[in-house]
Amino acid sequence: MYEEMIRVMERRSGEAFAETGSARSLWMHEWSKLVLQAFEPGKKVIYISAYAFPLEILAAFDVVPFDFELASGMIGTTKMAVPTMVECEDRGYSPDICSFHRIALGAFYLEHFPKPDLLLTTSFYCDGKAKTNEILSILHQKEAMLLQVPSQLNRDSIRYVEQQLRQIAERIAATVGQPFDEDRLKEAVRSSNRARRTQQRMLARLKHRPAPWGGSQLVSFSINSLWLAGREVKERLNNLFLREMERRIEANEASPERHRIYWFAWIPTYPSSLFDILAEHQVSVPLCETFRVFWDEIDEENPLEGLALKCLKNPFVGSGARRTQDLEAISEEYAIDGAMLFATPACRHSKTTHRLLRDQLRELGVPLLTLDMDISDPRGYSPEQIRARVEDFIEILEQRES
Amino acid sequence: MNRIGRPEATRVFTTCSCVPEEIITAAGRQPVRLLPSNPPADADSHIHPNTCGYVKSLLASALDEGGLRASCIVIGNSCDGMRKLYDLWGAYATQLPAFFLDLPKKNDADSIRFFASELRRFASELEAALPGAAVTDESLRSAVRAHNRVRLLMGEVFSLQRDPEKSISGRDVFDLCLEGTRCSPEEFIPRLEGLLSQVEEREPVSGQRRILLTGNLISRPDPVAMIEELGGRVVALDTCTGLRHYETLVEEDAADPMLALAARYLARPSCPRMEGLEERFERLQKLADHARADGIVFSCVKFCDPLIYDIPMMSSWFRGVGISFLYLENDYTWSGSGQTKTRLQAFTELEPRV
Repeated sequence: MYEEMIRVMERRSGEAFAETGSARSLWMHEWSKLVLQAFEPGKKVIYISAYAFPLEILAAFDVVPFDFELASGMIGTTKMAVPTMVECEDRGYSPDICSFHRIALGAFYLEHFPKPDLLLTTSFYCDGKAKTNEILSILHQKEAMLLQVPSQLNRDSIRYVEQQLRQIAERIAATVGQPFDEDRLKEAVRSSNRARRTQQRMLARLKHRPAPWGGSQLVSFSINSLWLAGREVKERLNNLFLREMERRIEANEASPERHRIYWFAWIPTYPSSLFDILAEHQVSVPLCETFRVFWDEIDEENPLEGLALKCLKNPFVGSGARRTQDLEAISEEYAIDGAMLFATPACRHSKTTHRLLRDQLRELGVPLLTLDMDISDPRGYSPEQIRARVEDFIEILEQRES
Repeated sequence: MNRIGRPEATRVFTTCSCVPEEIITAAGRQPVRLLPSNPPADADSHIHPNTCGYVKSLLASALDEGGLRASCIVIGNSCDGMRKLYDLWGAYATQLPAFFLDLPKKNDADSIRFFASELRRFASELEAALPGAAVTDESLRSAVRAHNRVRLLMGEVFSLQRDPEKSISGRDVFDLCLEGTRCSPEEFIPRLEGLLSQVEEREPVSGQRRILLTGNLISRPDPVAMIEELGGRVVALDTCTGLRHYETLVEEDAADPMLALAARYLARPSCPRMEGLEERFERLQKLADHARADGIVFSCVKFCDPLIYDIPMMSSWFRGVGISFLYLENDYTWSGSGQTKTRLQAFTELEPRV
């Protein structure tokens, strides 16, 4: 059923791209094409965590990366979400477990997802992801490897992560029966660096008032497109989105805005009125924390060390101060007058420090709304409650403005 | 002075069994596992309410000004909750300095080497922060010997706990484990030696259900007391202040004591934060067999992510090998004990394992 859904998505987005040439349709098309490859007979499939694992390594092999969390997020957009979670919950999994993971486990039992040949994940962002990865490896009877990314950046931690990346590359090579080709990795890293530079240009454009892009599409793209990291298509997508932004700025087509908010964490995958409410009140989201370029250019001559550094510098590794350290600059450069933390119940690593975010933002005169709302489970969604909370927050922004 | 007669300034609080106590002892300080009684809800203004009750109670104790008496606290990167506790501690509980200790979730050779380097960094920070603290190879080796002696003695206690003809109960062992969280080896060793020399024979009681109590942190006697009041007997206490805390010795007189510590702390029977789900089930099954347990009670502090994912697979594993399994969730303070008691009553009335 999942494969069928992605097939429909691939066809429709292909048609839309042919008709409109829009960045969004290309993104959906390339994304669904990649997912469909994982269902092709004979393909070697590697489960990964795209937002945390350096996918450039996988681009050096003839393998298909498959992110069980982002794939679950796609199920979360459909009516399949609740039955898939129920399949998991009926086997004793607690509702306190992240809904992404309940969907991923339910999808195993319902045979929605392709079967992996190897499962890779990281010790961050959260404990639950590593747990789900291990459980899936037991269920599939395939090996799981964990990339441990220490909290501190120092010589020991860089060497440790680099060694693990080399072992992982060797294990992929053994799994797919293909030697680890460092030249191919260097090419993936060059592509990743080019995409990074384009992303920096996109970030510069997002400072424009009114914002030429943003909102749910920005947050979604910032996470979801990481599945394509290290591939030429990621560069193409970034460039296309950049051109669209530039065109909107030139044509003065960006939506009018009264307030600009900075977005922490994720967005709901199921249909909700959240971003419609913001749009109604002319509130834009020109920046989210997941779209920031936190890493330096990867050293093309020393790619494994460069990728180790990219992992170690992730703001979700280590101290929570990494999420707040640039808030003053962000607030000024992007003319932010509010912030929102999307607090899905089980995402304890992200929302536990909401007070810290709130207090640091308060010092900058930026109010924060912590929005308790599940990421993929619509069963507790109350449109009225969300509207009341968001509108109360917008009222605060209005009062401050006046 | 604290209740065991040491100046409070010599105490160093820890928050997880993964923090090597030997380094603190070698620095001339006394490691004390912080098990506060502050209601977790007292921290709700600073941390999201659906966070683990232990983490919240720790934070509540830190926010309770003047409530904590020690020179510092060591917070291990045991789980997402603890990592974030460190962030909040640094921002809102600055009266007690906090150290952070990174902990890999796996125990291969590279991870052990990395953890050893992390332990060296931690020891240096401790030396710099605490007057007169000097962690030398010699002081470490001496600390290792002392803590190993405690482990061996506690091993004897756990062995007696399994023996139906000895008078040591689950509750006795629980109280002793709790005492172990706040005693230095020099205080605890004579206490244990004295206790072991006085253990009496008893008439085995027939029909008592033998329960293996496992899970994460149990800092209050409620479940042990309830099981034993209901006619059961806790024959193994496999928690992070119980058996797991004491299992596996550190190599004594190792050329590199930090490496030896890293190896022991990562390779010992692990808590659910580590990789190795099936290895943990196998170990627990062996423990249940060894203790001739009729059933396993699995206790979990609510919102403990490293643990709640394990439950369904663990439950079906033990059902598959014919061992009764009961999952008990608690809020760290064991409120709502009436319901817990009802569930335990039904469980302790089960037929003995054949």
